[in-house]
Amino acid sequence: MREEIVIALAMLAVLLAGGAITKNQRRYTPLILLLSAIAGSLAAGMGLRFREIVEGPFGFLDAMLSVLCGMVFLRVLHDGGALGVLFSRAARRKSRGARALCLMLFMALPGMLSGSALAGILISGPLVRDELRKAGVHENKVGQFVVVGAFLGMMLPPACIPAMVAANGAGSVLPTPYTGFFLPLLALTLPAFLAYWLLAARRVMPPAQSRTGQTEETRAGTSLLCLLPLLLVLAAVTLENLFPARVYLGGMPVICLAGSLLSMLLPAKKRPLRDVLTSLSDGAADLLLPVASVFALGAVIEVSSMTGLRGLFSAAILPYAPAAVMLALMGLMLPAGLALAFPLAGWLAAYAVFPIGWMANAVMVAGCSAALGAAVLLAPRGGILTDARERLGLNASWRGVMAGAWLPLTVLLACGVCFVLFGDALRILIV
Amino acid sequence: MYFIIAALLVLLLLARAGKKCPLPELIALFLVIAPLALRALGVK
Repeated sequence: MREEIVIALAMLAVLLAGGAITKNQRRYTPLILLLSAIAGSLAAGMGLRFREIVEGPFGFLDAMLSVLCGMVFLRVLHDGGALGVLFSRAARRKSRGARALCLMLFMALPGMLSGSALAGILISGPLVRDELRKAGVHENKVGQFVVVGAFLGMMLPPACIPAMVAANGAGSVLPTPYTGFFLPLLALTLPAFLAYWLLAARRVMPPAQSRTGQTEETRAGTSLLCLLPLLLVLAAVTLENLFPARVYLGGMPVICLAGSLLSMLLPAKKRPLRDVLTSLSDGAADLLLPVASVFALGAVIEVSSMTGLRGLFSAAILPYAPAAVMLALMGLMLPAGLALAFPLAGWLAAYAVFPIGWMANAVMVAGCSAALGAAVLLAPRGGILTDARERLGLNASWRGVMAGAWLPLTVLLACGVCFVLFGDALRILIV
Repeated sequence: MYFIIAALLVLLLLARAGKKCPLPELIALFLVIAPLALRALGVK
């Protein structure tokens, strides 16, 4: 057996054993990935190669700055009461369709700005869960709505961690920048969003009369001025992504931090400075585990390149069309997600995009990221559902959630496959 | 500009490190802080 395969098996064994021992608990994911990178380095007889283990995460650094700053902004906005005001407006709609759409957008908003489904669960999840529970919606459907909303938010632009992971994998030596993904991700996820909206409006949303009460913010009649930072940030990010050649406002980290400052000046409810500072710190720490997992995945990818695994992979896929290799690995990501949630699927995503090379077509990369997102959604343990259960105390079963999640999942994957197959023709989406 | 943002995030995360933190979270914290600190210091 070739040495590179033995190294890959050693790394894989650590991932599988770690996943089995810790039952895929999210808190152990960064540690398991780090141990896998160390195991690969040791199996190659190179000792503890700190340089590669430290170098790997740098490929994701700029993208993760956006993620962390997005979450800081969301936390400041949430703790200042602005999102409560927005929610009370969203939940007030009379028609089931309009209410389903508003609540889905509210559920997706944190994921859009931070790229992580966990943000949606932490920020919007409690309000949406309480609203649906109060209206008498079955626990499985509450879980389904929260999980799918957070998942779609993660996949919607501007920030999307699965696309950031896939984009990084395209580079052989230099990481591919996360740019030009706004329209591809929007076109990829919008059909799935609309499909679930139609489903949720009929099967999840209760009729308006069964709503039991208004939220505290509605009763207080708070000023809408507190929503100005959110509107400005959304406008700035959209303009910057749609017209990158003409509009540059400092990138997402700068926009989000400026939005945080403005939000501190325009809160819905006055708070002591100490609480505001705590919100900033909490925001940075909220996505600690997803960001650490991505950084640790960077170490795994770097070690697998160092030990020759990526070279062997390049030689092995030469006879095949890049799209065929991508589709095969996208197919493998789904069972990998079922077994281990993020770690193995993330590793496969990096390899799936590799055949199209550096400065890869963002449409194809976005298509590939659909499989990574789906893998995290499908995971019975260690995925989005586990986060929803642990952080929100939801008593939803995997089957109950998947009973409604299959539709957006299938639509998203179908769009992802089309993006991979017709990526060149869809280049018009890259601005 | 990104150096300053990285430094700010390191400070915010370090503020959390003072609280009681189990080992897996501590490792995750280190994994996030290390590259951010190197970027803040201009090493990378």
